[in-house]
Amino acid sequence: MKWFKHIMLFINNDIKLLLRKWRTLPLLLVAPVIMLVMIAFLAIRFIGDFEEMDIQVGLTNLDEAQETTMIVNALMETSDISEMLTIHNMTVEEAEIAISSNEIAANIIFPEDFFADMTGGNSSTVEVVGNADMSLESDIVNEIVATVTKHIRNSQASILAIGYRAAEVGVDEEEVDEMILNLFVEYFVQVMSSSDMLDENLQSNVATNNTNNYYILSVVFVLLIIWSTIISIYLKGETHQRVKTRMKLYGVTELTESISKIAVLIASMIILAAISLLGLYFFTDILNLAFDNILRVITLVALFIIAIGGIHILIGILFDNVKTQLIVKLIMSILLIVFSGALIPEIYFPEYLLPVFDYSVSHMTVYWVMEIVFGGRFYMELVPIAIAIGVIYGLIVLASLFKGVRRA
Amino acid sequence: MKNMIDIRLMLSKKRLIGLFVWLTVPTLLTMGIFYIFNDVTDDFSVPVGIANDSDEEEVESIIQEIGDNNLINVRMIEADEAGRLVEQHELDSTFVFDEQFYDNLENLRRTNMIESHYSNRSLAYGAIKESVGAVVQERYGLYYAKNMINQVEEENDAEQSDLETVDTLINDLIDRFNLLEYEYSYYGDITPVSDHEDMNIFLIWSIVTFFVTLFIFELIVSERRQKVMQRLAFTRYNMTKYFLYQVSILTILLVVSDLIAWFVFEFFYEQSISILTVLSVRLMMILFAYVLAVLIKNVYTYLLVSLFVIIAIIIFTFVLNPLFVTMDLGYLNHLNPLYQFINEEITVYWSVGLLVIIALFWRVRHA
Repeated sequence: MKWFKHIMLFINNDIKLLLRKWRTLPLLLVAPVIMLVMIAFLAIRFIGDFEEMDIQVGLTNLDEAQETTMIVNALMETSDISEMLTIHNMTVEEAEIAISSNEIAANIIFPEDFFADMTGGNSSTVEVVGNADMSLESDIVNEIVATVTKHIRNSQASILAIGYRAAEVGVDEEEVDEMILNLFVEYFVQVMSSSDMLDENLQSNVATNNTNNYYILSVVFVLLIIWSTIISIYLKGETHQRVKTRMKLYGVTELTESISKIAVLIASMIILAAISLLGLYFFTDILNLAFDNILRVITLVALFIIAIGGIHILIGILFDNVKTQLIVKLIMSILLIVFSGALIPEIYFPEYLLPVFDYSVSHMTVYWVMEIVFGGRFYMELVPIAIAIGVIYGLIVLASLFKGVRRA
Repeated sequence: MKNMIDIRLMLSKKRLIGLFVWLTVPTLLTMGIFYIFNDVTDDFSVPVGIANDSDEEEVESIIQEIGDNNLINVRMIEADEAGRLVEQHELDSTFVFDEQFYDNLENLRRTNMIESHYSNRSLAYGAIKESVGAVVQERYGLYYAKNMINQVEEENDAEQSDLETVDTLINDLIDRFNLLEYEYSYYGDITPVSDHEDMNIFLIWSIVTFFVTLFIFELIVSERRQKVMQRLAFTRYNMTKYFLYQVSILTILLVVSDLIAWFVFEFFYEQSISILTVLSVRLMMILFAYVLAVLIKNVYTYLLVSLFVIIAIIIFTFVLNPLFVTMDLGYLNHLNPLYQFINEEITVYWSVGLLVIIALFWRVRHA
C-alpha cells in the first residue's frame, strides 16, 4: 500500500510540475501546430507559384536559314515549352541588357548555320545564357532546353541515317535535302509530345481522392510524436542528489518514480490525442467510419501513446546526463517520424531500410489506421504492437530495478 | 592567464573527457549526416510496376532499359492488377505493355501505345512518365528510321535493310559526325552550380557545430551556480572577467576543432570555403552562446532554448529559405544567424547585433 501512496504522491507532484509551467506549456504544444500549418501554407503557395510560373526568355537566332526559323517556331509551340516560357526574339546585345536588368531569366542562342551544320553532321552548339540573379528560373530553362537538345540529338542521328541511305540508293541530292527538312519538323513535333504514347488512367478511391485528408492524418501522428517528446522533456525536473537520497530513505524506488511519470505522460497525451481525434471527427470527414472502426482507431492510438510514452521514460532512465537525454530523445523522435511512413510512404525507401519498419511502433499504428480509414478494412493487427509495448515496459522495469540496485 | 587555465583544468577535471568528446562531435557527426544525405537518400527509389503481355525480346529489352534508371525500381506485375496496386498505393505508378505493343511499335502507331495507371498520391508520376516516354520514344525513333529507309529502298528497288543494319548505321553516324552540342552558363563570369553536386558539407557542419557550441557553453550556466564562484571574491578576478577568460579558453579549443574540420572537409571531401568565413561564423556562435548563457540562469532551460534555436535554424535553412527566395522575401533569411555563412559570406550582421547587445548589458550593469 505504501508504494501506491508514493505513486500517487509523485503523480501529484508531476502534475504540479506541469501546471506550474502552464504559461509556456500550451505555447510549446501549439508551436509545432502553427509551424506545420505555416510550412504547409507556404508550400501550397510555393507549388501554386510554380505551376503558374511564366518565365520570360530571350531567343537569339543567328541562323538566317528559313528552315531554322521553322524548326525553332515548331519547338516553341510545343506544349511543354509554351506553358512555362514566354519567348522574346532579341539580339545578343539586347539579351545582355535584358539579363542585367532582370527582364529575362535566360537567353537561348541558336548558332550561325545551325540547320546546315545539323543536317550536314557538323558540330554546332546551342547555348543557354542564364541569369545568376534569377537562378531558379534560369535553371528551369536549362532543364527544358537540355531535354530538347537530347531529343534533337536522337532524331538527328536517325534522320542522318535516313538521308545517308537515301543517297546510297540513288535518290538525288535535292530530294534528300527536302526529305530531311520535312522529317526534322515532323520528328520534333512527335518527340515533344511524347505523352501521346501513353493511355493514362487516373486511379481513384477514398485515399487517393482525399490526399488532403491523408496528409492531415499523417500530420496528426507527427504531432502526437512531437507532443510526447515535449511533455516528456518538461516532466524531467531537476532533482538534486540530496533530495534523491532522502527519498530513498522513505522507501521510494526508481520504479515508483517511473510509474508515476508514465502515468502523467500518458494521461496528458490521452487528453491531447482526444482533442485531436475530436477535431478530426467534427471538422473533417476522416473519422466518418463505422462505429467498430472508430473503436479500432481509438485502440490503436491509445496503444501508440502507451508505447511512445514508455520509450521516452525508458530513455530518461537509461541516460543520466541531461544533454545526452535530450539528444537521444530528439533522435528517437526523428526516427519515429521518419519510420512511421506517414510523411514518406514506406514504398519509396531503399530495400535495406525496409526491415526497420517491422520494428517501428509508429509504423505499426500508422499503417493500420491508414488501412482502416482509407483502405476500408475492418481488421487490425495488434500482436506486434502488444509485443513492442511488452518489451518496452519490461525494459523499464529491469532498468529501474538495476539502477536502484546500483545506487544502493 | 596561467591561473585561468589551471582553474579551467581543475573545474573540468571530471568533464575533461566529455569536453574533448564534444569537440570531436562536429567533424564526426557531420561526416555521418553527410553520408546519410548523400548516399542513403540516393537509394530512395520509386516503385514502378510494369506488366509485359508480349513475348517479344524487344519489349523485354525496353523494360530493362527503363529499369536502368536508378530512380526507378521496376517490379514485374500482371496486367489485371495494374490498377489495383496503384489504388492501394503499393506502387507509385504502373505501365502496361500489352500484346499489341510490339505490333504498334513496328507499324508506327504510337498513340496510346502504353497504358499507364497513377493516382493523386503518385509523388513521382511526372518524372517517371517522362523517363519511360523517353526510352520508348528512342526505340520508336529506330523503328521510324527503319520504316523510312525501307520506304526509300522500295521506291528505288533496293535491298531492304533490317532493324539491326539500321541500328548499326545510326550508331556509326553518331561516331562519325558531331551531333548537336549544348552549353549552359550564367551571364557574367559566374559558373552555374551543377545539379548532381554533393550536398554542401560546410552547411551541415555549421549547424552541428552551432549545436555543439551552445551545448558546451552550458558549462558557463552551470558553473555560475556552483559554490566555488563565491571564492572568486578572494581573488583578483571578478566574475565577468573570470567568465571572459573562460570563454576565450573555450574559443581557442573550438577554433582548433574548426580548423581540423576545415582541413578534413577541404582535403578529404574536396569542398572548400575560406578560413575567414569559418572564423567569422565561429565568432558569431561564441557571441550568441555567451548572450544566451548570460540571459538564462537555469541549466535545463538553457539546453531547451539551445535545442529550440537549432531546430529553428534547421527549419529556416531547409524549409523557409527556398520559400522566401521564390516569394521575394529573401531579406527574411537574415533572421537565420547562419545565412551569411551558408552563402559563403563573412558573418557580419549577427555578430555586430550580438556585440551591441553585450555592450548594452555592460552599460546596464555598470549604470
